[in-house]
Amino acid sequence: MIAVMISEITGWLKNEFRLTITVMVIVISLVGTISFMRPEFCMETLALIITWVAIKAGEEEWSEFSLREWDKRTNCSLMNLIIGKAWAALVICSIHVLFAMGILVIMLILWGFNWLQLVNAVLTILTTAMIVTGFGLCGAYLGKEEVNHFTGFMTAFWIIVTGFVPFLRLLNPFYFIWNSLVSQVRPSTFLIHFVYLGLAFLTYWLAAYFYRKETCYV
Amino acid sequence: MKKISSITVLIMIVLLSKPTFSAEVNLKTRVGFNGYTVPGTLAPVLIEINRAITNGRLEIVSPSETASYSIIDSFSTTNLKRIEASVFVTEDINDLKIRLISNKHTLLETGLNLKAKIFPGNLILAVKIPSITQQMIEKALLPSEPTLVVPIEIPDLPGVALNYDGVGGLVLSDPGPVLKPLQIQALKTWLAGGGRMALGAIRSGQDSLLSILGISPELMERSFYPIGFGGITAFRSGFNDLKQSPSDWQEVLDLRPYPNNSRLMSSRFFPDFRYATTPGSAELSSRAVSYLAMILILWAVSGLLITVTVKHNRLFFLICAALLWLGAAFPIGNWLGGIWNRGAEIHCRNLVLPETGSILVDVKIWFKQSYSGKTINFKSSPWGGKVLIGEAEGGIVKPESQIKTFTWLRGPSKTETVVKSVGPGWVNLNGYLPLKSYLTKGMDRIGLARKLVESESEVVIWDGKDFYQRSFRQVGNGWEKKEQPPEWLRAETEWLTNLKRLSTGTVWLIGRGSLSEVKIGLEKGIFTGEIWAAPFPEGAME
Repeated sequence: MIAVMISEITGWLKNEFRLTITVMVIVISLVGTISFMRPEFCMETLALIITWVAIKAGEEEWSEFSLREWDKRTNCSLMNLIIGKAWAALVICSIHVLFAMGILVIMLILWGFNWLQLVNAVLTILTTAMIVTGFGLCGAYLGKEEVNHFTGFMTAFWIIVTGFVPFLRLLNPFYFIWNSLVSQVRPSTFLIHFVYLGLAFLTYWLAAYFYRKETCYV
Repeated sequence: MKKISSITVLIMIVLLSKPTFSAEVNLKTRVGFNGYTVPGTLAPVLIEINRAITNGRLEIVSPSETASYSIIDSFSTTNLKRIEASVFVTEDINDLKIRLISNKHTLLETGLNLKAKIFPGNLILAVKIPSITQQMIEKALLPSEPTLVVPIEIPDLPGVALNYDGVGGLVLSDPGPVLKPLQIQALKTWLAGGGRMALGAIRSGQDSLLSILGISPELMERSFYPIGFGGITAFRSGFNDLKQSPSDWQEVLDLRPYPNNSRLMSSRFFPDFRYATTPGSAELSSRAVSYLAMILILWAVSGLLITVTVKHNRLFFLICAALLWLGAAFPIGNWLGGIWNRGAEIHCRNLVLPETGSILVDVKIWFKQSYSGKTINFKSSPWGGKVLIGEAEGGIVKPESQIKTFTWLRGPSKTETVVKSVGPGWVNLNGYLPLKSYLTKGMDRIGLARKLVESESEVVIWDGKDFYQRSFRQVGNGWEKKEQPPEWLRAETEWLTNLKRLSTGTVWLIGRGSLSEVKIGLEKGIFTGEIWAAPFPEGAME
């Protein structure tokens, strides 16, 4: 698992580091300047960017070795390999958030919301990243050509359904981030994060299931 | 068994002693003058605790029945057994709650009826005057309206100038040097703001109250000593020997039908809360936007530099840059926050009372649009901010909150401020702040006016009709008549009318800037856009 993580992070540093960091700093600077670092808009923008990074991680865009190759080369269980990739994606997303943290702190002091709200929003972004990575990994068994559609479809389905169904809205990360920042009614954030983590592990299990099924047919 | 029984005894002692300690704390409360309050004015609330409570706070809660917010005035009780506070008497507050709290536990809670004896008229305080004099004063404005004379004792005289807000006049025989320093200062401030006092049986020399107020008593039957916009009418004879008719008393105390008196009353002198834009706020916001843009560009450039130039150890450099920005975020955020002030509009008007060395301030802070979550609004922060007067008093203003109270926290040092009214996203404060840095010993109105003109860059003179601004084109820095008032005064018509009503014929020096060493702040920033007015005497510019 550690070897998978190191390999993924090294792959990102070699191949996609420049792209993801550049996109993040340019987009956040633009949105921050236009909106005067308005917290809701900046956090939603950060959430979008981190989701995009997590999708790329899940689709193995910078991986030196794909899941199949790891499975062939090592004796590690499939779940360990998947969790290794997921953790690597989480670390990469956390590095992006860490670099943005200085700006987020300036935003907090400027606008006056509290640290708990910032921590909630950041945790939501990171748990969303874990879920979306799982979607990407779910499609890993399909091969490169089909992955994009699968990941995109799953992510869009999740966001749209949770956005439109009233009792599922708190499971929509963008709605939850907005709500936790501006609403006077504070939902139980611990429970929501717990559900997000549960969803993330569900996607990893699903990825392992799809992969095993595909491997059996091959 | 012995061990168990001794532990049991110890527990019993602790349990039994707890109610005993609580029972030892007593509160004596009083509102108004002998319970009388005047609606639309500030009334005194006096609380005495029988012993000092360490780590304790005393809260005076004004629960509003119809408005959206209640006010909690919170005092520290360490080393303090007597608290004199002010409460604004409005239509929708009937009862106050007084709470004594120690280490977050409520030790005592009691109620106080604010309107048990309400008198919408001229309320005159009298110390030991004969009943015939009292009757004459009460007829002073008849047949249009009665005047109420409330007998009080010397210790009942306010020690806080704001508590004279509802007092129409003061009648007493010269008590000599018995007033406390706070009472003297409060009395002087009220007189300087237009208050009128009648002093009978004046004593000679240093024994007289006049000497303590800085006046040399003359040995005449009746003399008037002006102090600021008000003054003292002193009688050599006692009230028993005076043959004053009701109309005489009307003249002595300058009584006019309520509420058209000319003395300074904070509720009537400062206009009602208006959503006027503070001059210069647009300039502050655009400055803050440019600075923020520069900071974001710097941040973006630092990230791009790492992506472009660093080939090895990229992660190390990225994390170093991240930690550097995290460390710099706090001072940068505080600095930027000081410029922008969370987008709140702050409106502050002051009146300088030279004779007392203080300024009466009226501060209105407004987070303009409450956030609904449905519109894009860059105006002000929906999370509000902390208002501060000096370093000892503060409260958090929130645009919307489920907790519908505004708590004004006071520190251990004495200050004279009151929360007049609050609502979602706004607060209105009044207070007397010191003007020490502008006043040196022996300085009079002329000296003060000269100092204010020299120190302030934006001043105008207003004689009730025309405005005059300094002209450097003329020899000797003369004053040039202007067609229009300066831009920062154009929205102040109501306040200027009140200035004229306070004292007809007075020429005013009006300026913009902070005069008191006690600063008004919002979060990280200090507000310096206050508009003030000081009397401008003849001869000030010679």
